[in-house]
Amino acid sequence: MTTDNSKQEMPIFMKTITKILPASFDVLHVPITFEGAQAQLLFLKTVVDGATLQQTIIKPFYELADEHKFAAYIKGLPNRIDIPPTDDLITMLTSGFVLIYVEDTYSLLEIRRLGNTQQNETFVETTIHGSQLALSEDLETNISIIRQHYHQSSLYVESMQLKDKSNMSIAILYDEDLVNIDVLRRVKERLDSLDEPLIQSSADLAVRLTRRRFNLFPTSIITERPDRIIYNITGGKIVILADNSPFGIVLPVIFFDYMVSMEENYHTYFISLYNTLLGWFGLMMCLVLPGLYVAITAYSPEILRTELTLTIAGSRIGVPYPSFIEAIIMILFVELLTEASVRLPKSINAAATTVGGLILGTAATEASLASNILIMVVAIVAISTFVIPINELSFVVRFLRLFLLVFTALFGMVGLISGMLLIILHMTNLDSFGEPYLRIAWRSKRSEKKVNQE
Amino acid sequence: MKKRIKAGLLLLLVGTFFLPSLSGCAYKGVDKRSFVVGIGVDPAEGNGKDDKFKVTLKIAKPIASLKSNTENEYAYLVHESDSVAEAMRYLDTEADKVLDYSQTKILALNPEILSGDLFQLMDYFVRRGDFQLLLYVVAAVPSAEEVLKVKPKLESAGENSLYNFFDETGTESPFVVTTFLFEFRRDYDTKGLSTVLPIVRGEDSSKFIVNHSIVLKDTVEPVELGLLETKLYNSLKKNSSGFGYQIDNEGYKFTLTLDRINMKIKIQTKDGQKPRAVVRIKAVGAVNESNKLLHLKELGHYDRLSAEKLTEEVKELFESLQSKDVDPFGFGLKYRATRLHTDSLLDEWKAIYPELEFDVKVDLQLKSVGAIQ
Amino acid sequence: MSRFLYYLIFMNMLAVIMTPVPRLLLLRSGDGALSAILLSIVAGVLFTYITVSFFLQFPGQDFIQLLKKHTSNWVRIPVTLFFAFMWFVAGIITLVMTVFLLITFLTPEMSIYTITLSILITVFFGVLLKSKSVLFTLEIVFIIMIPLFVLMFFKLFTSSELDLDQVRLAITHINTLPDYTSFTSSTFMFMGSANLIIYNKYFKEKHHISKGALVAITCLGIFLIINAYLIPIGYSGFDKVHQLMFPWTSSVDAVRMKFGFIERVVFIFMFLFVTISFISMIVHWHVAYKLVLSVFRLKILQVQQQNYTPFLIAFVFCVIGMWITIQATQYDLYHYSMYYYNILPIFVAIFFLTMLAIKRGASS
Repeated sequence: MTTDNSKQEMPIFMKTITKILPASFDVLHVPITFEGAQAQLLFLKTVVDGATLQQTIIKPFYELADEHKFAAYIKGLPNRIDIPPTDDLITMLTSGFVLIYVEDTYSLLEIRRLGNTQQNETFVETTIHGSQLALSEDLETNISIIRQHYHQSSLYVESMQLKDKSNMSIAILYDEDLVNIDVLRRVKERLDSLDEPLIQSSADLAVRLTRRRFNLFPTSIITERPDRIIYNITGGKIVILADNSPFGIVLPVIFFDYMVSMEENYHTYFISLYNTLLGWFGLMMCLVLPGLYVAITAYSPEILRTELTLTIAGSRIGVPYPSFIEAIIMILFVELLTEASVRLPKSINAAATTVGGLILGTAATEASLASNILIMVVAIVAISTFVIPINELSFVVRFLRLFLLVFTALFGMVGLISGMLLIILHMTNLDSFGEPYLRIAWRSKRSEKKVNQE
Repeated sequence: MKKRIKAGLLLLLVGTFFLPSLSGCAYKGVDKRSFVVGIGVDPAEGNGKDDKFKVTLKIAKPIASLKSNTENEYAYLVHESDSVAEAMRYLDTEADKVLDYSQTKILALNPEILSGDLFQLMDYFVRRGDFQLLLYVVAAVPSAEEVLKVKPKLESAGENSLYNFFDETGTESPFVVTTFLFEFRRDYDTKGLSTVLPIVRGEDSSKFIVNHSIVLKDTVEPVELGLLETKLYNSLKKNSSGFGYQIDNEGYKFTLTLDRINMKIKIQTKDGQKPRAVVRIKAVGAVNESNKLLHLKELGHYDRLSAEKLTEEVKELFESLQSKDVDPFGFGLKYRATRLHTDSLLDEWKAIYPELEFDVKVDLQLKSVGAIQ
Repeated sequence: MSRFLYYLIFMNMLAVIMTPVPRLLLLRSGDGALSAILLSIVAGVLFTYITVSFFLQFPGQDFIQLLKKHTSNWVRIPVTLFFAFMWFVAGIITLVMTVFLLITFLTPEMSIYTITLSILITVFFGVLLKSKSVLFTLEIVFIIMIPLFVLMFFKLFTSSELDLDQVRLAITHINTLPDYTSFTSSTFMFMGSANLIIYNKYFKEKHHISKGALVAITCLGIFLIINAYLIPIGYSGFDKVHQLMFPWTSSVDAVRMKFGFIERVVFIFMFLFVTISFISMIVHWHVAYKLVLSVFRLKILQVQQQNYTPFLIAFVFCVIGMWITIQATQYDLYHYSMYYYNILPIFVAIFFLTMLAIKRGASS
């Protein structure tokens, strides 16, 4: 499109602007000629509304068929502004302005693509104060959303197609100035060497991106929130968007990224600190509590104070099997409940949880098939699982607490400590596209997000 | 291949249900343990055999619902044997569940077995790692068994009223001496210090009285401290405070509450002089009761009256303890701790203590006379 | 100095509670422990200074590489094996001590095999990690543990059951001549910097050893060694403290939280002790494993691209650890660990001599 009219030379100023802009596929330079009249347009396709452009610029041009008249027409448009300094101009272009060159003058017109009508509401990572809209299912819309949020010329968008049967087109987004080159190279290598027969969504893609086959911890974050994507892009991370999928893949990640709720950015310092601590407390609770229950009831009742021990002993009266079996049954039951409420339509959901949670829980204690204390433990565990900000992590935690439970049932209190350490050891040994997975970065919050090499 | 792995994982999951059988004998659920909450040791009644001790175990019965039960239920196991360990081993055979000593908090000892060297008696409790060192050691009158069997009227389900006396969450009285097992051991074994145990008197099997105490040292017979002496010991050594110091001087009769008491001891041995222990006591308190009208401007006068009386009492206590050759205040330890170590230091102290003179100075400050004049 | 170096040094200081050192010191409380401790502080800080400043000259290189580069094989192999032995035994001592402690206080009914196994499973994986990951783990554990350590010392110092007269009594024994074993065993506490022989590989940047760092290490060292010695005395009495097999655990059991739902603070500390000893074992055995690996690399165990020698070494470590733990008695633990501490000066001498050789080799 840019070269089909070779007669028309690109003016110098426009050339320099084109050079500053990254060579993304959506940067368009469109010269138009009709009966001797000439004009040139420069814009970013993905942020400019094509229909309006057609209606207000291109159509009048052909109707007027006169360069002078057209220039006058452009001057009279309400959305026209004079040329700002180059830096601002670039920013404006990335946010939906069209640069027009006609009759030796430049004009800047705002023809933003308005409202992404297909944007879904957030339903996986909901926040109170954050944006209520998630990504849409359209790749170009999604890129546009990200561009709308992030007006930087250094935002680089690369488009490519996967080689599997779906031929899904994906886009790799990153900030050129901030991204870690090594990681980018590794991600691209991995994308090139993918040989899966079928990949259907971003989540699918995210799983295939890791080389190890038996994985427990995810090495990338799947998110539906534009603000989380922007947050991570400013941290120098790479975002992969896939067509027909309302989720973006963020990588590389460190473990602490999973514990960041977007809500934290929208509160005052102490409130967000409190929220963070609450999240960590919830994580510890749902990991350790079932194991702790088994350790205390079966191996080391001396740990708690006398009154508490006797209460626990009292609540266990009549339960006909060891506390390990009791705990595993109740936890599996809650897992079923959680899974059921995911599968069920929203309208029946509440009924299922009520029947399952309340009635069965009460009945189990009445029938002495589980102790009251355990019901409490299981309830706390179930609730604290939901506190974890990113869903992928809570799946991992649900698996890990079973592991800890088994370890504790075998080895007692020491098993619990040993198991916890084993998890930490495993995580420090993992890496996400070459970056250590669990590592404490002692820097300010902003630079901590950055993927630093050490 | 993948299917086989999935089948393997499934097998693993099923296998986890049988895990407890693998972990063997250490897996003892709380419901299979009996928690011993108190141990009593009495001298054997001796039915012809040469048994030395009679051991009583107080075992708590877990309560399923605290709301519907109004009182605790305990089971008692009693056996006589030559040593404490032997008796406990025998009692294991009388209980269907494992006896768990980790929650034992009361060790009641009959004063009759407290004379002489307690090494053999105490050895078992410290050597076994599963006794907590934070258990309360008490002397039990008339006998350990009876004290353990007392059922106080105020005791509600799920609590143990004897604990409430000693852990500082319930009653806090200057008459109650709290001695933990580790403290008992430490003070008993330290040369130049004696250990003090509270005496718990069980009455009518429905009431405890804890206001006397007993001083123990391996070399001498136990010395019983009365009401006042116990209170003074507790206030001065353990810095406990509270209601009830009677002052009777120059026609005034006060009852004081002392909020803060602080004692400093210095041992002075100058050549040619008798060794002296300089004891400085600082106390801050208020008047609770008086037989006369009190004037605020004369607080200083009341201070002096009270201090005089207190000095007298303290000195009396020190001297009576000295005459019985026990040292619960640790004058000997103080002496050893303030001089560079030499091998003869202990022998020197043994010679000094019987002729030590006490120079007690009480600095008492009354902050108020209460709500009325 | 990199922060990981501090972790290595401080970890060794904290882990000393889980070694026989406190008891060995308390056994000699009447004759020469305190003066030996004071002497060991000087020696320990000097050792740290020399070791750290030596390795700072070779950023990014571990001792194995340096030995390979600057010395001949007949020096390298015996020295490496001797060092491996020293580090391995340091781990074994911690292992045996931990197992004994657990079996005495936490789970007396459990079989010794099960307890040892539960520790060795995790240690096995820990040893096989990348050195970098070991350091990351060390950091995380450290950060989790610091609040607990602060709580522990706060509780220990403020508890009214701490008898200061007993502590004073212990201090009056300062006028005795220092004792050899007390000296060597308390110097062990300051030898965390020796771990640099492997971990220096990751300290790539050029640092210099600052005065502040040295002062911090000295202060914390003094604080911890004095506490390791005096706190058991304050809680268990000067005259009979040597009777206690686990003076620290028994002393900490004297602290209670009136209102906590765990009343006996000892269990919180037990958690602390066990975790610290886990990580200390991993750090020590990792060094030993890397040293052994530099000498043996069996070709038979090469399967495709993977060499299984590391697994074999870690497995052998665990089997020996298991065997020794089961065979050892409490007497063995204290008796043989005493020998271990007594030969530490030989280790230091060899260490410094090889350092000198390397330095000469590097400068020529």
